[in-house]
Amino acid sequence: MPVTIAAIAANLGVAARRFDIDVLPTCDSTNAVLLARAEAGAPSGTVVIAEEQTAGRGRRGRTWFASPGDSLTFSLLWRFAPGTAPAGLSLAVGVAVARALSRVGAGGTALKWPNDILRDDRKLGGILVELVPGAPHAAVIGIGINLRLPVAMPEDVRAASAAILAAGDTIDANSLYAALLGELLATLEAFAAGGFAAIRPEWLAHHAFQDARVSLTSDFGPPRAGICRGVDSDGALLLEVDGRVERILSGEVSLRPA
Amino acid sequence: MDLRKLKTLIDLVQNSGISELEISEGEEKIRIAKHFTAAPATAMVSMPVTSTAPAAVAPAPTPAAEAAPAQPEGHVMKAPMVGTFYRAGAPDAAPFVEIGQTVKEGDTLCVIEAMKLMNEIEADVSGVIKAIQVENGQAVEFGQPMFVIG
Repeated sequence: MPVTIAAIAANLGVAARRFDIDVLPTCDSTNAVLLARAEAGAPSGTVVIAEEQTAGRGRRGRTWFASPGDSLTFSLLWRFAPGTAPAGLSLAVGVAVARALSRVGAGGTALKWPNDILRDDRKLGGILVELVPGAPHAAVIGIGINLRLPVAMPEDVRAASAAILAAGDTIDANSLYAALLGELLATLEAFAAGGFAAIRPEWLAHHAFQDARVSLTSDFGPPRAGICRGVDSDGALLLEVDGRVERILSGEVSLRPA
Repeated sequence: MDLRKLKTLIDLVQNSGISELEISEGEEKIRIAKHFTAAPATAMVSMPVTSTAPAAVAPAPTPAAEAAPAQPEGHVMKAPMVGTFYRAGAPDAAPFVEIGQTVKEGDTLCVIEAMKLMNEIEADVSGVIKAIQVENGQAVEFGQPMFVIG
């Protein structure tokens, strides 16, 4: 079933009024398109969906490939009250995605700090939030979710990837987009009112690595080993190293081989 | 006053802690000032000064060295949020700006990331990058100076 604005809106019901949805057959990056629209004054709730994304942005330039029908790739613009810094927004969005997938019968997802959606310890999706330059209370929230794994996929990537659908299964992408936007609306309103603290308990309930021995890596410096103690009310990772808990804002967490 | 007596007096002053001696004997008046020893005394005073100086100056160059290049004349761009400071858009990409480069208002200077929330920071004035006060990959606090644009 093709992705159409009308079908998504029909599934959303009254909440459809909160969104201004655009579906592009192909696009280099939905975040890039939406950032440009945001700078031109696009309203909160503007959504750009790409049926095919050719140069999706992962964290700091890592690319994310999407073929038509293999994945959901979209971005949502959300304007918060001026003066608020949306710390922990990536984590809050993860909770919305987990809720939405559960609603369409694709539950069993876990969240990895700060922005990955996992199933069976493999990556099912990712989130990248970019603040609008010059308007740092406005956020472009990019979400990519694997519907099915492409046939042509490097084996190491495949081994680390998960998808919503098994081979041969189908899903109505319109209802999935509607579930995602509906849960994002609820989550972002809760986030705007109470910050990440309001969503933290649900995030922790989905936390993939709670109390696990992990390795924290970054582009700078050697990896650090510790025990993952969850996140604080800002969404910062709590890493226990030598009996002391540190607050971590950046980096990648992976399970440490035993 | 005979010379022997004079020499005794000079030796007395020389070996004493006093710097000046004035004696009046009838019409005779003699004044011995320890200029010769005053010089070493001055040197001794100045020695502690010079030896204190490196100690006192040693901590000073650090703030001075930081403050001098850190605060050239110009507009200071401060971090709008807590996070990690990136000078480039990707690990293998060239930095957005270098010192000495002319930038226009709206040009991207850096990215601050916290919890995968990327905040691309644009110059809010036009000018020349006079200083970059944060290392690539370093954590920044809210309000921490990052660039000076003059």
